[in-house]
Amino acid sequence: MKRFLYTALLCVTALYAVAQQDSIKPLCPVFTAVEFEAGGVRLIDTYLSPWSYKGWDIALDVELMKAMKLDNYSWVWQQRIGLNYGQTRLSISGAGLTREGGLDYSFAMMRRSNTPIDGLQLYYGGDVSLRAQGLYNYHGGNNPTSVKADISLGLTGMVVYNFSLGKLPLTARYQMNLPLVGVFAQPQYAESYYEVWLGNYRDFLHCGTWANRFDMGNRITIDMHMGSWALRVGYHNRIDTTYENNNRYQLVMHNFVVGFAGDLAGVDYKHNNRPVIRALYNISQ
Amino acid sequence: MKIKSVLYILSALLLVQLQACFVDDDSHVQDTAKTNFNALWHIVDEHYCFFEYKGVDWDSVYNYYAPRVNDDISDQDFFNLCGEMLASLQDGHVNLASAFASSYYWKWFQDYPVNYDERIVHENYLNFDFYQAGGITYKKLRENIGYIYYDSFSSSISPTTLDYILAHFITCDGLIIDVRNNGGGSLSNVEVIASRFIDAPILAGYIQHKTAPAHDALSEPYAYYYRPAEGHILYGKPVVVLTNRHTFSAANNFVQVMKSLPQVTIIGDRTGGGSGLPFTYNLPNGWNLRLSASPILDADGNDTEWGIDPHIKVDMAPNAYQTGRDAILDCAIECIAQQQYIMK
Repeated sequence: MKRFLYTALLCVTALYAVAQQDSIKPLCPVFTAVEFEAGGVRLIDTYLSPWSYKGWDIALDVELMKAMKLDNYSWVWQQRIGLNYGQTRLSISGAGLTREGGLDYSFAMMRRSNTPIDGLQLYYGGDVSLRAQGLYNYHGGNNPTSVKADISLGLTGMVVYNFSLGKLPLTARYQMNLPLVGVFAQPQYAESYYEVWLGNYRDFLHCGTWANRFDMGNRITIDMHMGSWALRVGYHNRIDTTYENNNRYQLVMHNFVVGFAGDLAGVDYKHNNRPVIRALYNISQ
Repeated sequence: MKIKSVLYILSALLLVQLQACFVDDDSHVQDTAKTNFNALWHIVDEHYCFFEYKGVDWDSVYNYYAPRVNDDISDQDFFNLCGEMLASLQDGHVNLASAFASSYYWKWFQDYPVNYDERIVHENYLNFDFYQAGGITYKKLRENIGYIYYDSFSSSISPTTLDYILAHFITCDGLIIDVRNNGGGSLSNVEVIASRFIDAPILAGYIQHKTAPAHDALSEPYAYYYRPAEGHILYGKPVVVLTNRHTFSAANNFVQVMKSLPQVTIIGDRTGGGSGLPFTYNLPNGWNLRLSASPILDADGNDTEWGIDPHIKVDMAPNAYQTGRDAILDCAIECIAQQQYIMK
C-alpha cells in the first residue's frame, strides 16, 4: 500500500512538473518591417482615357509577422499595410497628367516548412486583401476620377533562404500574392460617378475572378542582419488588371525597396527564460 | 554555378517583362496628325451618346474629313479641321482643347436673339443697387417682387446664403429667377436651388449612359428624385424663370425641373439645350476632347438636348438698349403682379 502511495505521489509530481513545463508559453515576437519604395508605374484605364500613361510611384509599406500557436507554431500570420502615390503622363507624347494613389491592407496566414536544403524554408497559405485605389486625370469633364476598390481572397507563398556572405548573415526572400476571387467596384462603360451618387448602383459591384480580373504581387528582398535589426533592400512588382463593362484597367508597378526590419516593437528577452519562436528568421539580441 | 546565375538573371528579366503582358503596349503609336485624327474619330464613335437621337452618320463624316488629313498638316490647320468635323455633331458640349485654342460649336445660340442685357437690368430695374452672394445677384424690385440673377451653376451656393436670400423675399408677391446667359455648371447646384421650391419629393428626371461602344448601347433610364431642403426656407409663392438661348447645360436642366412645378412659369426664349453630361478624353498628343456621354431626360422621359420651350415666348425688342426696357423681365413682373402664372 505504501509502495502504491509513493508511486502515485511520484506520478502526480512528475505530471505536475511536465504540466508546468508545458505551460511556459514560447515568446512570439512581432517581426516588423518598414519599407520605402520608389520606382516606375505604367497604367491604362479606358474609363478615363484609351491611352497608357507612365511615370513614377512612391510607397510606404509596413509588414508585421508573427508565429502562431496553431499546429505547434508551424503557422505564421502576416499583415501588410501600404500607401502609395504616383504621377503619370501619356506614354505616347508625355502630355496629359494622371495621378494615382491608394491604400491597401492584407492579412495572410501561412504554414512554414523546412526543406532538405539547409537554410531554405517555404511558406504557403492564403490571404485576404483590401484595396482602395484612385486615379485622377486632369482632363476635367465628368469622368476625371476612377475609383478602384476591392476585397479579395487569394493565395500567397514565400521562399526564404538564410545564408551568410562572409560574416554578414543574410535572408533572401521571394513572396508572391495571387488574389483568386473577390469583389471590386467598377461603373459601367461610360457611367458617371454622379449617376452612381444619385443611387444607380446597378452593375457597379462585380465578382472578381480570373475571367475579369487578375492581380499579382511579387516581392524580392534581401535582409542584411545588423545586430538586432536588419537592413532591407529589394524589388516590388505589382500588377492590377480588371476588364469589366468594356473598360480596361491595367497597372504595373516596379519599385525599388529599401527599409529596415526586426523586432521593432521591443521585447524584453533578458528577464524572460521563455523560448522564442520567430516568424521569419533569428535576430541576435 | 554559372548556369544557376544565368537562370536567376533570366527569371528576374522575365518578371520585369510581365509588364508587357499586362499593360496594352501603345509605345508603337506615333504622335502624328493621322493618329490623332483616328483617335479623335474613334473616341467620339465609341462614347458620344446622341448619334441616334440626332441622326448623325459618323462614318460619312469620317469619309469626308479623313482624306484631308496628312502628316504634313500644321497643328493650327489640323485643329481647325478637327473642330469643323466636331461641329457636325451640333452639340455645344463637344469641343476640343489644345494648348493654343479651344474649338466650340456656337450655332445653338448664334442664330437667335441675345435676349439679355445686363446693363439694362442693372440700370433700369436694379438701379445699380443690389446684393451679391455666392454667384447670385438679388434685389427686391419696386413692384414687391424678388429678383435673382444666377449667371453660372459653377458658382456654389451655401444653404445659409440661400436662406438669407429667400428670407429677404418672404414678404414679396413672387420671385423671378433669371438664368439667361447661364451656361451651366454643376448639377448638384441645380438640386440645391430647386429643392427650395418643392414641398414633397418630385421626380426630377432620368439619366442614361453608354453601356458599350455601339451607338445605340444606352442604359435603361434611371429615375432620380429631388427632395425638399429639410430644415431650410422653402418658397411656395409664384415663381417665374427667365430663359434665353444661352441658358445651357445645367441651367437647361434647372429649367427642365422647374418647368414641372405648378407654381413656376418659364418666360423668355427656348433654352439652348445641352442635356448630355459631358465626359473628357485625351488624344495621344495631349489635346482634350469633351463630348456628351450621358443623356439626361426630363420627368416625362423626353430628351431636352435641343432646348426647352418657355410657357410664354417673349423676345427683347431690337431697340431695347435705346428704350432701356427688358421685355422678358417686364413680362415676368406683369405675370406675377397679375398672378397669371401658368397653372398646370
